[in-house]
Amino acid sequence: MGLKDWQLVVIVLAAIAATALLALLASRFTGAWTPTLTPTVGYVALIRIEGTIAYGSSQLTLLGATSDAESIARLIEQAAGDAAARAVVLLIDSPGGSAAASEHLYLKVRELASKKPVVAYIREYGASGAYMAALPARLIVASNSSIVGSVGVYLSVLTYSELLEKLGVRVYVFKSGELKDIGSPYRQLTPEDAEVLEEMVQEVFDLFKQRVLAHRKLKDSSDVFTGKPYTAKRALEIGLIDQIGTLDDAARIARELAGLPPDAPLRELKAPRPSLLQLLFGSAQRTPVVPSVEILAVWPPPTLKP
Amino acid sequence: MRNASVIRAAYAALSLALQPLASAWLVQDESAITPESLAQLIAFAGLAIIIGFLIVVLAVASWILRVLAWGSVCKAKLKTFYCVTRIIVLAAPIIGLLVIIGGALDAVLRTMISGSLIEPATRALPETLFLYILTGVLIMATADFFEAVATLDLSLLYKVGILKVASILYLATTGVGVVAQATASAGLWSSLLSLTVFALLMIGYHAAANTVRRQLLQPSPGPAQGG
Repeated sequence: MGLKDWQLVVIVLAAIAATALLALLASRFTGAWTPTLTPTVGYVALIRIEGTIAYGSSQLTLLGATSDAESIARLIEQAAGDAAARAVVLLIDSPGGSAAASEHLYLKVRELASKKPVVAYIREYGASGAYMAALPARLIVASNSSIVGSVGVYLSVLTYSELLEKLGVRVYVFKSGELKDIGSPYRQLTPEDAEVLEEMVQEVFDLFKQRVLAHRKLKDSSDVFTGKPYTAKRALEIGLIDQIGTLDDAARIARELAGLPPDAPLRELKAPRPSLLQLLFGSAQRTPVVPSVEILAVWPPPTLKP
Repeated sequence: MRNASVIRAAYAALSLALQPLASAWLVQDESAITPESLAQLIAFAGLAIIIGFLIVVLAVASWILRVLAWGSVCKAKLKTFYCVTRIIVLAAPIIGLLVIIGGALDAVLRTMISGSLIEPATRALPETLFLYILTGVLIMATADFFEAVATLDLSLLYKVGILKVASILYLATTGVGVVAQATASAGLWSSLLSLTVFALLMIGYHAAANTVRRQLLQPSPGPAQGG
């Protein structure tokens, strides 16, 4: 004699419910789906600052490939918020960039350095704005053939009013005040314009200088603030960097500072790739940033050839 | 149903064969890979793909046979439950598979949007992915639960002892299979149990068919019908 329909349904439902409950409990108990990816020991996070520092991402600036300051700032925040990231190595290979973007990174690195050890490693260029970003690091390590320093600010104004005149092109500008179109390419710079622009450059430079003096104990600052770039050897002598070494050295120092074992992994934090929608509709390709205000950079980036 | 059990026993045996291949693939340390071991790994992968394909073909064949078999039982108008079982055996694997595909799509979209499937805050796979897979597996297993209980009822109806044992084991194995999936473990034991159960079911269905045949040849009062 068989069972009744409702009895059979009850058995099935009970079996399903019991299985679901057991499966959920077992997965939680064994943690089969989560803990394998959770690091049990700490690691050293690696964040790259490569190319010209600017807002927005583009491969087409006057200074070559750019490093989007906002993306890097997000990675710095990620490293700051991740308890497993016990120390951070900043891999710097940048000639500098816009004053605002460099300042943004400097403040983020300073905030990060107040929470965990940060070691900056300069691979090829650690100049100007990139050097500013490295300043709050506990230690600055530079590769033997890197270029460091170039502490200074420049601002370039391009005018082509005479060219336009030769071509018979005239531009009429209506402005509310004398200085409203300061830096306009359609007219020559006046002494008053130059005075205002120099003042701006000087103010940004003073801030940069104060930061260098606050973070570094310079042994010889006679020409540091002339904007001169230095080789790693000379930068070490002056006190712009702490050590000449490799990325491995920087990682080892970071592990030591964080009290991590020598085999603790060095894990690179990467900016998320653009989504399919962003790629399709182009929001991933933001407006190319050609710095047009105060610039903290070595330009054109010098290349050392053996 | 007997034929479906034969096919399911075959694919349980193939799944069992797949376990050492998967283990051989997983235990390889990337740094220890040599050209020889790489060639061996590629051979393993090729074999695993062939076996995997065979498993899929057998699973689809057994699914069709099960739907047809429960359709025949339904037509005999013994119980409504058998007709429900037929619908569940037909629909549950499709719905379960769709849910798992939905989970996979969700994972792909997450990876495309955030660049990684791993959530930065927890450094773990997203909870929803696990829930998608567990729900999908559970829905797919619902067909087996219904089938196991219907088989148990048939075994009680026709008084076939071995089918009763097989159906109870089938019920238990289905549960164990889902738990094994949820804990991502015990694949070997689950496959071994399935092989035993399907072999028993095959014998049980054969015995039940003989019982029905005997009852048809010797005119006697048939089995009492359930309500």
